[in-house]
Amino acid sequence: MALKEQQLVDQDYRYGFRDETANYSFKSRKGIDHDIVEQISQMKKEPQWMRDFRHKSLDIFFAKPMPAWAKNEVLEAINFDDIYYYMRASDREGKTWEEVPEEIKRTFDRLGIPEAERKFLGGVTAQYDSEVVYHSIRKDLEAKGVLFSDMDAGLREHEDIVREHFATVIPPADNKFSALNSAVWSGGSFIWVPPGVHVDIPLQAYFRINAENMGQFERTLIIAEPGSFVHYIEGCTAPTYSSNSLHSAVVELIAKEGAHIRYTTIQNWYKNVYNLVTKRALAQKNAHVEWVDGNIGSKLTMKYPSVYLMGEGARGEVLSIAYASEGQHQDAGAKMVHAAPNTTSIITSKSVSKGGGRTSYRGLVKVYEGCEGVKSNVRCDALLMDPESRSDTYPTMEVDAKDVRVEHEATVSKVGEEQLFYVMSRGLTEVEATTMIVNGFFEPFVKELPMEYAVELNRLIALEMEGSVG
Amino acid sequence: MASSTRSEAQHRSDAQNHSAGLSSPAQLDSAAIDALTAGEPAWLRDIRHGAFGRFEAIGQPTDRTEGWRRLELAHANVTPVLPEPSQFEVSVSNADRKKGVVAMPIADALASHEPLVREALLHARSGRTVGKYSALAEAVWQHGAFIHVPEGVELSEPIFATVRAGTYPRFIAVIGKNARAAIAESHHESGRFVSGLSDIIVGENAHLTYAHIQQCGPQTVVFSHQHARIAGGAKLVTLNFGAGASLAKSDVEVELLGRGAESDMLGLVFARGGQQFDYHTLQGHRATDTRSDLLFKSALDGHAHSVYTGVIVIEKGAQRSDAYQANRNLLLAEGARADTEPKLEIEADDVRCTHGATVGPIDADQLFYLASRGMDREIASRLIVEGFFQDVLDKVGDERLTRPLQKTFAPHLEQES
Repeated sequence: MALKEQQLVDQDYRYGFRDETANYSFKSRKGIDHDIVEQISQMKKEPQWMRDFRHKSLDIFFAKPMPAWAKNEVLEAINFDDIYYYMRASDREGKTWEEVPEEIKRTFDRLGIPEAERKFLGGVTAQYDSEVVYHSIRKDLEAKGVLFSDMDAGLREHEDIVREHFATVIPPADNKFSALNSAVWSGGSFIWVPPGVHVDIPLQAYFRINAENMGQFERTLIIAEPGSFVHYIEGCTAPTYSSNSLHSAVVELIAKEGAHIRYTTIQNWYKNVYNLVTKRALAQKNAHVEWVDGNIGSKLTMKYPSVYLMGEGARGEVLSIAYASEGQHQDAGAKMVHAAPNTTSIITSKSVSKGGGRTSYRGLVKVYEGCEGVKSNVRCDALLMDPESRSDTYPTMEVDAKDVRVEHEATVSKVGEEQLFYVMSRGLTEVEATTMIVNGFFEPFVKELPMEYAVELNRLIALEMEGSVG
Repeated sequence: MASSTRSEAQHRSDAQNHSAGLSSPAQLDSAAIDALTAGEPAWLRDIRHGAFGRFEAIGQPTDRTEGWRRLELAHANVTPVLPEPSQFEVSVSNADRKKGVVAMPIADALASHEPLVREALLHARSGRTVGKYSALAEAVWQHGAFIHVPEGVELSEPIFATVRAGTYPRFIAVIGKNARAAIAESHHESGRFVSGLSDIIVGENAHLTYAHIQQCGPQTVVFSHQHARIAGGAKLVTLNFGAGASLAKSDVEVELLGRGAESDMLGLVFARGGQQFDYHTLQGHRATDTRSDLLFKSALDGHAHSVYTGVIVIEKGAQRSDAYQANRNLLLAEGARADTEPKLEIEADDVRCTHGATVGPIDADQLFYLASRGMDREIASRLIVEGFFQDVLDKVGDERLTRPLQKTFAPHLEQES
């Protein structure tokens, strides 16, 4: 089959092209110190409080040890002195598509951003390396008073809102990587939804790493005022390059009373990227936060989206999938912290390991004293595709209240012989049958995605499965 | 009852039986080990010194140490003490003794069956996780039981080893090929500090049911480390019963080393007042076609706290492993706490591996059902808790070991309300 051959050619990495973007308008030297932080802050003409915040965070980064629980030799291999911490591809942001530099457009073209634009799928904030270069908001969003911009613009134009909420969910001292991000952050999205406003279309942003040894430290802050709703989608792909690259984002969500935030991520970094991300949400009274989190790429991902359920009746959900093939470790999971009565949470995690890849689920459900009426359900399923691969499950439940229901269930298995036999007896090859079964395994996740993403993800899985059997 | 026939084979041991070298050393150090073990064979003293080195190499745990941080060490003194006088007995029926079964104080066994004891002690260590307090027990033990059931022998009566006093109990059971045995090791110490170490070796196609019963005094800090090695085709059923102690921290490790080895691991904790229980379990699948099934349950009253951490490890190549792990916690009072961390580490693909954990109060529907039959609410609760436990005891499958336990936990339930 011609298609199949083409797939085999492509399977290494679908987005494996790379633009020769040598004309970076500013490139800080490698390594990290107070001078670099000062430079970044000056370039961005930031207010004094943010400059102080960056310097303070850098001291915390220096002082903090690597997380000891991870025991990860891969993590220890990161050379912080061999990374660029700030880079800007063009001097100013494009307001319209025409203003965006041609070579950057070419990269986005291949990723399909213009299509997304044409389909009016909402505001597009595309991040090319550290700085947002293109950004648009549909007029009706503006009319509703929704603020959607990159984080730097958010700080310039809405300093009061940013200052009130910034780093209140994830303080720099939370962990070593949140401290690093706080010191050198650049780009990311800023969203503020006024009270009662329902944003019907998903807001999207494409993040992309391009330069070799380029660190990307975006910072996203989403504030949903009481009774509002917003769905934010973040999808990542990165072009091929040789040495390891570090991606360490901080994402803070604040869902005020009765608000609803859904945050969808599809992470498909190239397989040399360290993806060490801190994502956390606060859910106030009757608020609802959903993380829909897909991890396909990267060398090592450590990401545990959390919901702190601070007000009575708050709901938290995490739906997560992870796929690890050769040389990859997906250390993903979720945390639900129940700090108010009658709060509920659901975690559903699905993972597939193939070709010596390793997936780990690491999670926490915590119920504080006096939080009666809490219900929490955690479900983890793992598929192992071959004898070389590995799957771990590390859930933790800490329950300090009596009238609660906390449940956890996990299974690890391989693709069933009978399942395979059944599908193959209908005339499918083993590869096709396996792909179908794995797609079915991920179905609960895929059906939560907008159509374009669902189609893309199914294709990615098909490509990944190509080499899996025989 | 069998007790009369058994009495003549009962071994009693008090501290004064032990060697005169036990002239209370001033502190726990290498010299103290020398003093305590004067007259022992060199191979054993080597083991002890090696273990003491491991004990010293591990720092004193604090509430920030991984594996300890969930416990409130401020409420328990975990500083080790010097060995204290011991009192224990081990009983075996005359009929079984005639079949060649050895069940005696370990010090006596050293004198009469040194090669057997030596082989067991050297063999037992491999694969056992090193813990600070188990290393200390291995270094300074002064009392305990040695049990050997020869190849093909089927015990007619269970062996009971009962410890009433002492600090570092040592227990070794070796079950020969094709043998069948039931053993209960019960602890009733009431000093400030106890750290015990039990090694269990189950030979090919053998079957052992082993109960570890902890009913120590309410002020006692109890550490316990059990390590079992199971050969191909053999089966081990273990029950861990925890009711005593102020703080009890136990490691229960089972390694399935031969094809077709099986293990059922059961646990029951009834915690009240400010008691803290910490169980760590290992289901180590190191061979093909192995099966393990774990069920640990705890009922927590007062402001008791239970920590459960369990891991299923399926090694590369251990294909067709089948593992199950469940931890169920029943919270009976407002201040009770349960932490549970059931973990899986899977490196083979042709496996079936499932685990589950729950924390919750007495089921309101069950309570309603019983209350609607006119039953007093407290009695109904008690029945539900009894049922919660009975389920585990039934799975042990040997009433001779579990019948005495029903009696012992019944009074707790009486006092509960």
